[in-house]
Amino acid sequence: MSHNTIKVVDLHHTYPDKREALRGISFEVQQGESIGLVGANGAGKSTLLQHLVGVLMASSGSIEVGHIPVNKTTLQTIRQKVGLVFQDSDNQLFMNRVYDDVAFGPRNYNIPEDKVDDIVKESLNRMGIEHLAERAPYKLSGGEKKSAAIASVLAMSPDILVMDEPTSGLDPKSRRNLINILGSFEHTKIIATHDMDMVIDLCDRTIILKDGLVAADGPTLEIFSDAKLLEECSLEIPLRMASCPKCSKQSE
Amino acid sequence: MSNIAKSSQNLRWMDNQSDKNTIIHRINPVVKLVVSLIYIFTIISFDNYSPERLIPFIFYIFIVSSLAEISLIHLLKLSAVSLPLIIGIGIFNPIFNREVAYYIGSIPISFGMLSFCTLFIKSLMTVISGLLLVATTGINNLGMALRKIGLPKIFAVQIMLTYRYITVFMEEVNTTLTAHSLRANNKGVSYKSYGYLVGNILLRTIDRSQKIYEAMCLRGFHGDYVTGKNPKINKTDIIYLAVWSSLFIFIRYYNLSQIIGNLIIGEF
Repeated sequence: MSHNTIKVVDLHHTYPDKREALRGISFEVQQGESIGLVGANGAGKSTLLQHLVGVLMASSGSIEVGHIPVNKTTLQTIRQKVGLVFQDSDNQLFMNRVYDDVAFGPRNYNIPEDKVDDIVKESLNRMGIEHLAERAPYKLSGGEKKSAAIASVLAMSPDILVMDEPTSGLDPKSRRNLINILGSFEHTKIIATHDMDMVIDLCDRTIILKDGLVAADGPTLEIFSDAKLLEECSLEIPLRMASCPKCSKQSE
Repeated sequence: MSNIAKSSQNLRWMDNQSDKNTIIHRINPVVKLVVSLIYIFTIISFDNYSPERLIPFIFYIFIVSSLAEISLIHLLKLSAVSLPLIIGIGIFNPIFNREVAYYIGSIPISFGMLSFCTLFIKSLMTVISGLLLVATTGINNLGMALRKIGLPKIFAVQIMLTYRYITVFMEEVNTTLTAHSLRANNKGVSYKSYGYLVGNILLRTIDRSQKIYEAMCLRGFHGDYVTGKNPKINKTDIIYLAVWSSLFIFIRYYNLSQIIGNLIIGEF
């Protein structure tokens, strides 16, 4: 894989209802980088993620993953390289058992069944959910579903993990577990989220989207220190970076 | 619990049943599918005025459901959904065809009644055998079996995705109706809001189905459900196929009800 893992150039996307979701986005992602993608609702985060796996195709502009352009003819290769974790795990888990859900991808690529078994066990093990293998996905808790959904993507052995709101709907303990697990991955990661504290934990670099454009792109702590920028983009300073209201009152 | 939620649970009950590991579940899916098809074709090949000839076919349902440890009562409850349709189709037969076929004691039995009974039994047994097939095989293995017997990919995928769509549809209907009832002050769905609700449900289910389909495509789905199982047909499968097919053909050409009746009353 090239060091230029992802290259997005002047990406535009207009939905059939004429709504312009992306209005000329450009950025590059190097191998092993973890990038936080933040922005207000409707800023274009999910639309951008869907372009990276070819679910949506650009109205104009281009995307390359490891020098391979994302288009209809390269979809199979791209989707082996880039794994997308959906915001709603219920949309990602559709088989009767967690095991079969995780095995779904490898089986579609005609991997021999004994190897599929190894892959499934390893993926479940990495997410710490081996004990859920025989359970029906709809019976799992929110955190367990999220872990199973990520395991199903890991089973595809992607180089790049793209996640849409991975911590949404999780209780604090499940959220922390997930952040710890994601932190242990060496994949290139792009995480679209409103969870600014998670971005501090996982991402060295942050891209802020605003109205379909890149409003800022740089080191996470630097960007999150710019209160004016965050406010302009309808964001807030992460809790841990905000000064304590009680202490700041006392110091006045 | 709402009726919709119950129906959704029933579908999941079927999925859960298919994960069992009984002698019936271990039979090759292709063999089970072929046996079910022979069963259905044999049943529908009878004429409209011989309900008694169909009765021996109930044994198949009894035997398979008990060996598969599947509650026959639950299957009957599930098949009850089809009763209004069956009754709707056949209810006018006894009214329009009153010609007497024979008497039981002094009670006249018309051809219309016979044809209604035949239609009722045929339909019910066909539905139950279909449910039994899904409950002992699972929808994914069934899809694989359909492909193996030569059904074009597009039809097999349609069947499986439709099965999945039903679950999505019922979940969305349940969510929408719950949201409606919480603000409807115990009133039902009014005529005015009916159209909005149906439209809303349709759009939501299409959207969700699309997302599920995308999730499948992102993991290499190209039209075939690969279950990872490709069982060879073994001796047990051949015996299963041979025994049931011979029995169905025997019952088709010999009146087993009459033979048993004659045996009981001592006439040979």
